[in-house]
Amino acid sequence: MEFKYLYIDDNSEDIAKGIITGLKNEGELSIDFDNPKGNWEKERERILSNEFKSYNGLILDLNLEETPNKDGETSRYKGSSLAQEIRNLAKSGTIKETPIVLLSATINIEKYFDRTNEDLFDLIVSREKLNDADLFISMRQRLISLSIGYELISKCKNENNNLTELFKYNLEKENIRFLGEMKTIIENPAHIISNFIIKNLLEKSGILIAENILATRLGIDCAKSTDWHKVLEKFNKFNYKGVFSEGWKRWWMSGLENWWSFELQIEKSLRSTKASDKVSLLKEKLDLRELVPLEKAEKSKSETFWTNCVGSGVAIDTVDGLLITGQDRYFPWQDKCYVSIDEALKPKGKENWNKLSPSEEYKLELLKKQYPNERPTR
Amino acid sequence: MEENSHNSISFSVDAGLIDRLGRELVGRAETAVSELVKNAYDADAKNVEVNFIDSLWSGGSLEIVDDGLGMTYDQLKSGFMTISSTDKVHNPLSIRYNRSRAGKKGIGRFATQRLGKRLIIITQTLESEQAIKLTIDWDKYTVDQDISSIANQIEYLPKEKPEGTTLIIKDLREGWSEAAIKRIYRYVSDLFQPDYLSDNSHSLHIAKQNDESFKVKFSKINEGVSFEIASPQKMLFDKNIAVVEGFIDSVGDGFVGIRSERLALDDYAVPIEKSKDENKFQVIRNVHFKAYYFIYNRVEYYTNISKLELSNIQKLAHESSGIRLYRNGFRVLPYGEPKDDWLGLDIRYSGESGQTNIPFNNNNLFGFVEIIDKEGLLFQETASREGLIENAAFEELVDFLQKSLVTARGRIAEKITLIRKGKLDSKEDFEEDTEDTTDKKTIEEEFEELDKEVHNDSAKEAIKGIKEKYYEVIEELSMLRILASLGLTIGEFTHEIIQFTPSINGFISKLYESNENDLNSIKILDDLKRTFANFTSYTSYFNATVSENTSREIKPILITDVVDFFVKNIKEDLDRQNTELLVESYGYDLYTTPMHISEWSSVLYNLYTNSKKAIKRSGNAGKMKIITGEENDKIYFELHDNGDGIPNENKNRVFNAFFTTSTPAGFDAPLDEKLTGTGLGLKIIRDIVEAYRGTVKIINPEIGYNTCFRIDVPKAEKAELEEYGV
Repeated sequence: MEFKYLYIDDNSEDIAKGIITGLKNEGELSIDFDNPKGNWEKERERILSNEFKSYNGLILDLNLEETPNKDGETSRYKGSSLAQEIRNLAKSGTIKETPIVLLSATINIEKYFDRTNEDLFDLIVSREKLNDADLFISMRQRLISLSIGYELISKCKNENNNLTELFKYNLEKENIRFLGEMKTIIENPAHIISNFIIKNLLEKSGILIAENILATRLGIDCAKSTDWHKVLEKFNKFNYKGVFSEGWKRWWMSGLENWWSFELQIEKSLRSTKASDKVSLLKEKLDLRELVPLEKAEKSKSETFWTNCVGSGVAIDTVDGLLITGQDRYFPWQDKCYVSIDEALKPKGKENWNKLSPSEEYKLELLKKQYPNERPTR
Repeated sequence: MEENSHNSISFSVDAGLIDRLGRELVGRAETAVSELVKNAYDADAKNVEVNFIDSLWSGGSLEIVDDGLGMTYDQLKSGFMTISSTDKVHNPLSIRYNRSRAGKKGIGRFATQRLGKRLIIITQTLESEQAIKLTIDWDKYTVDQDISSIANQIEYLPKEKPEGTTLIIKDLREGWSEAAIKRIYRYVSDLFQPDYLSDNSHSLHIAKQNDESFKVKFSKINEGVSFEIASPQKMLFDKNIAVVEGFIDSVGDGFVGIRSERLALDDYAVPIEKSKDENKFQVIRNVHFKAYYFIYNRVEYYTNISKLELSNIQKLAHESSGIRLYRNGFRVLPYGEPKDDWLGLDIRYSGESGQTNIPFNNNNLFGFVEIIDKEGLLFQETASREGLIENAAFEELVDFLQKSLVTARGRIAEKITLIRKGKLDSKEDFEEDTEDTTDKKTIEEEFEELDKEVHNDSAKEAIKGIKEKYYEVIEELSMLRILASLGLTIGEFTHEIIQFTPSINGFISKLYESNENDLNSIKILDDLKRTFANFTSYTSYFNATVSENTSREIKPILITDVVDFFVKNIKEDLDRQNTELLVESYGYDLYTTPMHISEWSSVLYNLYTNSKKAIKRSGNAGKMKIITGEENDKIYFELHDNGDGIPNENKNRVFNAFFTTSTPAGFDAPLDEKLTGTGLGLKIIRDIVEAYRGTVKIINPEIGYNTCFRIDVPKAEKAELEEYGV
């Protein structure tokens, strides 16, 4: 089935054309482009029109006020106002619920976007991030996934809030507090559910994990291991197939533990075994050769890697990591984010983290004393 | 010529000389053609046709047909065929019209050789019964042959016309585009004075461009179809803001007049005096000049001109503005050539233009000076024929012209200031963007007055010092103004450019998905993708640094971040230059006192560019090293390179404004070229660094390097880090 998005931007179609070309794909996704209507009444008419019903999603620019539209009219509202109106109309049942993606220049997001509007959008993409041709296919997958996901959410709500159907997985053994939270969330409009799942489940490790964390927890350096994909194949059963899985590749963490202890029947704990030992065990159990264990960063102590430094991506054990700030409102089933010692001392990936958690600052001072990094005398 | 007798020996000339003379005497093809046109003038022709036949590519022909006196066999033999003949030396005036002969001695024949491989001359005189046709095949004139052993065929043909010469140059050595033909047409036209500037010149039959007595027509003939090349664009002189016209009469009184319709200006016969005590000019008489004045980019100052016309004039000004000098009707070079500033206008006014908005450079003027000096008593050409000897007459001429133009400028300034104030008419409101300069005394005038009032020598010395410093600052300011506006433009430009980045990436992505890609097209795509990624890294760098400028926000800067970002950006450039760059940093949290990120960006770029140039000059395999760290509560940044080093005597001077070891860009070079190597780079660095109580110096480099620039700026204080939330 081909999904259809409407892309509203005040710039000319010429400027947006490449983005559209890169995102759309015959038989999968088509994108119509249009300028804002120029005034709020006409914009509302558009939302209520029959044509609008045919769209499976919406891409909105944030600042619609910069350039006049084709008819020379300048709009006096933001993409976020439009999104708010659409959410309101959907809530009252006037129109159906659709995914809305914000696509805007970073500078405009910084200037005009009030963070309380975040939940209106399923995805917020800064135009500058589309700085690599490789990103278009994954973004297309996410757009398609959002459309499929919205339909699935609606279906599950109609089936008495069927969570098993939503996640395509037996949730019995999952964290009880997660289940409790999900049962509350599913009562909400689709975009609240979507937001919750994307932000708290797909974008944060915990219940689900991404490929890099999976490799880290198995102790495998996947860049060096040609047999890595074979490991993934063996683990296929625990691949996440639930809502939005088309756009986000994830695995069930409970599945990993289950697989390790019960299917591979390894007695040593996944959490507290050194990477090199885990890789030896895996090679033996899976009858694979080309698997290379991860190596420890220079200043790390532990080799039982569990997470990746959010700045540099280096695999670390949480004992060798320093917590970053802004993680107070975490759900208990979520993993916390750390940076490695090197990253804390000499940050290289600051775009991915802001500051250390205040509680970690004394550690940093000690580390600076421990590794003074003095210039050799000339 | 081989003789058995060994009792005497004579010089002989190798035929290869012709080729050498043709190429070395007549460097440019333009000169070659113009020499041939001059020859027609010297032969008293009234009409010359210059036809380029199928000449877009090499191998075509060029015909120069005149209705001059023609040549007899004897004249051909003793004149044209005799190298270094003395005819023009002996007879400086032409036979029929007494024209002052224009052609350079004996260059014509070499000009034809320079232009094409074969020459056919068909010539006839009034008296002759037949026309003579001479064919010369220049290719026969190869080295290792005696020049006199090569015979050139002569034929006799029925006469085509009463008199005149036709030169046909076959097998042209180069192709002639229409633009090239136009260029040469303009070149030829400029040879002659544009107009009779005085009654005298009229009665004396002085050559001029629109002279009915000598007409040149250029045509391009392709496959038998002829197009006349339009005469070089008339300079649209009548579109001027003002016309300045002046003269010195036969008794030495000088006058200038300034006329402008738009400025309601009609000042007639303003006297120009030699000096306060002496009204009359002593030496020169009968000088006339006329100059057309333009201000570019200010359509509002004109009555009837479009932006396009004005910008066309501005373009023309690049090659043909300035004040030209015509002596007895002929152009005297180099006066008024591009870059020539014989009246010192550029030196005097370039720094000032921004202050007053009455720019008065050579660029703004199209002027012609006529001097009539038939006997060559007042003005003598230098031996090299490059200009006039700077004698008393010449000095008076320059003095008169300068005073006249300054007077004219004053009158124009007065009226334009009124326009800006909206007092001249109410046609439009003009923004008052500059200070009124005409009512107030200028600083120059103040200096002058001060100089008169002060009689104490040391005070005079001090004033002189201040004055020098003042001019230095003015000059620096005007350059900084250019740089600043360039910065804004880059910011704006980058902002526009990045709009397209995601779109282009989208197209690239889509191309990858095509099923029709073969290995070759995938390789091209890979290259495209990589190249575009490099491109994007530049634009995003500028966007991050230059555009942030608009926010003017200062904050503590993590120097290691700045360096990382910078290094990432120049990586490709380093690879291209084959230069290795090591980066080291010592200590942690190298936050500087609050600064603007773009300031560091310009510091790093300037230092990097200098190092690159030094490495290039040295010819070494490039090596650079950046070291950052903390010392004595300062954050330091060092850039080492293994370039050619800085000699001790220059170490203190490199930070001075305008000190540069780079060869300056030519006057005609594009702006960007002029802005590199301005000698302001290090000065700007010093200004930035010192503004934050920092220092920049040249220190002893580490082993393996030849130069090291070190910058120290205060480290951010704890309170500052907290205040800025770092």
